[in-house]
Amino acid sequence: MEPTTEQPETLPPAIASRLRRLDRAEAILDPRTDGAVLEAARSYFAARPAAARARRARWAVPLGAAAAVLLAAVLVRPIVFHTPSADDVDGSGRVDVLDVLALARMRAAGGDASGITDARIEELAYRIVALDSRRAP
Amino acid sequence: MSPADRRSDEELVAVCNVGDAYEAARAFEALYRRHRDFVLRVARRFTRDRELALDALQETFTYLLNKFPPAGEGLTLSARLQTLLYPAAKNAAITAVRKARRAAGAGDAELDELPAEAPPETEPIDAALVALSPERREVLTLRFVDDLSLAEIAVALDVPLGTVKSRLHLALKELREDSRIKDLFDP
Repeated sequence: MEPTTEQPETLPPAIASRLRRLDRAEAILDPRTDGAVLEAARSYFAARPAAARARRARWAVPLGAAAAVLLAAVLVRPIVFHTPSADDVDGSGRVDVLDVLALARMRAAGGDASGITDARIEELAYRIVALDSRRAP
Repeated sequence: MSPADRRSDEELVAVCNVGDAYEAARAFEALYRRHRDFVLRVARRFTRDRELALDALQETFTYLLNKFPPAGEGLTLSARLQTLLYPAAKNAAITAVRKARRAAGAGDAELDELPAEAPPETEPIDAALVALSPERREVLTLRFVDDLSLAEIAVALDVPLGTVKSRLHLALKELREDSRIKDLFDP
């Protein structure tokens, strides 16, 4: 016997409820089964290549940070070296080897009376060398 | 537990088909978490045993996994995923019971149907439901417990739609005519 029209078949709520109870699924979930299924899935899909998008994302953060640092160094450097400094002996706006030579000339011209010691000249020379090595690409 | 994935089954299946290793595994996990309870319920229906139901659960999702590349051809959903999972879970459950019975030295009884388990405290409704033939009770359960449409039940059981309608109609008729619960239909 087959109904000819799709009539709405309904079940009284009391019977539907008992049917569900009869079909009850006890709390039988097991984390080990979850782990086994999901680990199998990871192993199965691991054969596929990683997406280029994922590789880009891995490098994007450090690359961006490096670019930001480089940009900051370029922008900040002129401010640092244009700041009036006691080491800018010749008043050029830069601290470089010419300041060491200028300091040496002042020492030679004024002697001890100039207040410039050999230690001061050497100390500036060392710092200039250190600064130059940091500026070098 | 991670929050539920909002993508549809179709979208998740598409990612499992062509996604990269990470995205495909994530999409599969979302499918698993979404349909695990349904599969477990079906497996429990046919095994009436916790361990066997868990074995069937694992087997069912292994079957689903193998539908996707590289081993499988890829999956195209033409109906709800439950219609694919139901027969897989049912078969896995029946196979698990068969293996267990063989291991215990018992023979293969009729296993292709719902076992009629009488509840401990038999009430009139329970008795009437258990008295239904397994095929009719299966359709009734798929319709009113699993909330599948008649067309989806037909796909899940791989039978014509007319057969599903007929089984459901006869199941309801049988219940309606059962003197123990007749008054529930005509209050």
